[in-house]
Amino acid sequence: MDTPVAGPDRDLLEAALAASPAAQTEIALLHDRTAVTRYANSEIHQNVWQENRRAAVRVAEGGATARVFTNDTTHAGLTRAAEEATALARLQAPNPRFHSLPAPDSGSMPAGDAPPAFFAATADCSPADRAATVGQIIDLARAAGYTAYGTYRSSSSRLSVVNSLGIRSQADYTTAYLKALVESPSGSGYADALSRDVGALDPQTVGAQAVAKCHLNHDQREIAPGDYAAVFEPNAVADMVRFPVTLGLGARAFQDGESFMAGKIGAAVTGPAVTLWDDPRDPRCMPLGIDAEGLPSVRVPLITAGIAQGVVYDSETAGLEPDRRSTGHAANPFDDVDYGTALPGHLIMPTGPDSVAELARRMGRGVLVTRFHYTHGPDRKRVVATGTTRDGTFWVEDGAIAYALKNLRFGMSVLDLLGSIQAAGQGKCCQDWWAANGMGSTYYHLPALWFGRATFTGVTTF
Amino acid sequence: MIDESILHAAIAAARRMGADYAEARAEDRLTETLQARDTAVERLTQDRDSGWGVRVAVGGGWGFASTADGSPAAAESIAAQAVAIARAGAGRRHAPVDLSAMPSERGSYATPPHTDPFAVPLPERIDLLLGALAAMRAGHSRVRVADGELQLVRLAKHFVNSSGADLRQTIVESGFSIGAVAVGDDGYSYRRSYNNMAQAGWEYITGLDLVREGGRVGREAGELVAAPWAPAGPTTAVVGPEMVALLVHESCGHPIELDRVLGWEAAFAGTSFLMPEMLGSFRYGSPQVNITADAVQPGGLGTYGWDDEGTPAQRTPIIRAGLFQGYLTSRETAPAIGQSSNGTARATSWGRIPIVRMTNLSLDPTPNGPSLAAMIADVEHGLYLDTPSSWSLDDKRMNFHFSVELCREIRHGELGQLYKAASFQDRTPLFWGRVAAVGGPQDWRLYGFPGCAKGEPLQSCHVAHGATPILVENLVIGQEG
Repeated sequence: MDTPVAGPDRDLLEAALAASPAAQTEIALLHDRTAVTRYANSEIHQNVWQENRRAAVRVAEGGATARVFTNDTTHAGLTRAAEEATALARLQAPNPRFHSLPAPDSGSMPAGDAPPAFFAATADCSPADRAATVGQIIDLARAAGYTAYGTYRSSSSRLSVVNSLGIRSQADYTTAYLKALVESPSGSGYADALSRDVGALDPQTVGAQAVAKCHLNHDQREIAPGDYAAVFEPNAVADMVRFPVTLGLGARAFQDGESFMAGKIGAAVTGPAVTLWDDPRDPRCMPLGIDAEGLPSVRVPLITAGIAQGVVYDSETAGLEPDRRSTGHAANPFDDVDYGTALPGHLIMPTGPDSVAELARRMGRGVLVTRFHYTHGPDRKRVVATGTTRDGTFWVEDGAIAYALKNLRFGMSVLDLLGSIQAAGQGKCCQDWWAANGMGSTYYHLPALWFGRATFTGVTTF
Repeated sequence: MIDESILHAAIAAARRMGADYAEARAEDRLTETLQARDTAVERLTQDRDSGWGVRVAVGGGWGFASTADGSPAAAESIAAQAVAIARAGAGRRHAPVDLSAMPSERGSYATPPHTDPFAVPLPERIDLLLGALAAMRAGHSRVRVADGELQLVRLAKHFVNSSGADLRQTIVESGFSIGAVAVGDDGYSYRRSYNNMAQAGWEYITGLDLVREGGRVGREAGELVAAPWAPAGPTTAVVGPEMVALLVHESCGHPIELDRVLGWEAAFAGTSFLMPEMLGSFRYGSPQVNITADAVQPGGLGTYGWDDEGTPAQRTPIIRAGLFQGYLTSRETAPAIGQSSNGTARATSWGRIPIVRMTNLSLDPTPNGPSLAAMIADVEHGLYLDTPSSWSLDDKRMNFHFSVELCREIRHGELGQLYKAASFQDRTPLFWGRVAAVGGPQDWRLYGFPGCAKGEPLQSCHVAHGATPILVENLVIGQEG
């Protein structure tokens, strides 16, 4: 829930703001605790915990800005950071792209309150809880004669943002993530679950899904590169949708002309079956009501029935267009990989009633993809993506899995891929391979999708 | 820097609580990043990150806990947290952790004498960067956006353990990146870039002539966006050293990480096609290919005195005359193949545990080998490829796809037509097996990679790769990227 700043941090932040010599000052304070239990070869091999309090002090002075990070979050530490940031800003010429730090009315009006993002059960998850959960998956794999690998992560965070123009925002949130890769001598299977509430993660379900997938993945055959009908499970869809998200649906790429959306608002950019929006307040998609500037994060239509609708903004990019307000999508400066600009963070596509098996049945003949590994974009403007499948790629014949395939390299424009959507299936909350592993921050609620044409350009050896 | 008494107190507390072994590491990192766009500084950040962590072995399991809190009370509470984590995980281990070879060295390492980059006045740094951006914009009328970054790092580390080790290291790094986005008449955009980073001071940056390089980058961006698509099909390719450096990183560096081989990264970064039974006999590449991991190479982002388990930095043969000879190993992984650690366990912050990482992994130049110019002159018809723009590999690092920013036709031994968006996909040993020539030392360069990702929580590591041009036969270029 996003609320005014409360607790002992309120006085700390107010005092630091008051002491700052800059014309404008913003302080974002992130206090988080993260625990990660990793397992491999059916044993826990890495088991870590970290607590950190970090502040990002951004100042504006004479049309220039500077930001100083520190994890000395005492009054003295914050004051020193503000003074250093001010000194750095004063050494610069004005930045013509910068207008002001945001004021409380710089943002958009949300349709309602943000749903709960903090769950005590997640925050209180203990080392023993994590070991027990991991143990359930190891035992499921062992009972099937397989070996288990994976990760169980739980974290709790408090983000507080204040600035000298009157912003006072705070959000508490938790994250729980469980993934299982189950391996036999002849193949592997994968499943994961992601939620704000650790109670929503069921290790029995995750483990059983990974085991079932592994059970199907053996005696892989090779198919020739080419165009095929395909069903992508939601994790695989996430690794495709990531490309329009990072390359085209943020304001900066849009304004620079690098985005496929540039100059296309109101025009078709992909097929009529494609509708995407970003909604940080949808309870299905890791909700968080504020952004790193303390502004409300709101729903933004991106593509509706294939027609470009808009992109997401932070205060800086909004300030570059007349009558534009921030949509509350400022990049989180504390992220491990900071994209440095506004991007969708809670991307949603409409789902359908069909299970993956039902989509495959309707497809009749084609490829079924569980997920992708290490995708990349060789052509930003045309949103071309490439990457290899892993942990379960199958050939579907007569509407059912006929046999497993050797992993395939995918390569085509994601806009063309999405343009060939035949049907959407049931959805799940997930992240792409990059974001799930700390190299991005977008969450998705995505369906499995049946595509009329997916281009595979190569085959690997396993 | 966290007071060393905290580290010793945490180790003592962990031992009192039942730890069979404990090690503590404090880090104090200062990073300054200057980002500019077109004519102005866009972001200027200074990041002071200080904290410490303790790793303990209890009851056969490992536990690690870390905090930025440098108070005496934290020494007790963090040690207790680490011990609780180790105990919780110990029941899910096949065998107790091996504590037979814990380091006890004492010493210090520091980046060799350099011009302190943090002492260079900020206006001087800004002027240098904006000068490079102005040169990019002036380089071609189609350049729409010019951006760049200067990054400076000073890292101080202190490692102690219950075996008596006491190691202090101070590392300074300086790096830059510049890029130009050109937009063609049809609205298509194309990016050309140039970047590097080294363990060095400000003299490294000033020695690069970024204004001249900016002019080249801008000109090439403008020409590339209007250039035809690269021709598809098999060709003889001369691959420039910037691209070779990434090939070494992705197709050799990752599959030789022994933790991947053992499955420790299976659920994230992946595993490897290079299995232990292949050591010494597997033909990874042609006889011209020699690759070495060298953590004592001067100037590299993978250069240090000791790794973060306290093992001395060292030089390890990886590929010799095309044959696979060695892995990157750590204290925990090396015994699995009957070896001792070769000192590549690195942690990227005080809040992370050391895991197997690349150091400075380099393609060795061929003594008396050809220069880039001579290599091109020897090609009747082919392509010159350089500077990666996209890379994607499968989870065993066997099948790969790379795209390059720059592609030029080679005709009768001379560079000709410029092409955009050349790409190629191949299988690692097949690609390296078709390397017909490896260039000499005259064009060998060391390239810093400050973003090698691995581990959970994520560890984005600074590594480096030396590379020289290579000649590859029958490289199949893809259609339009």
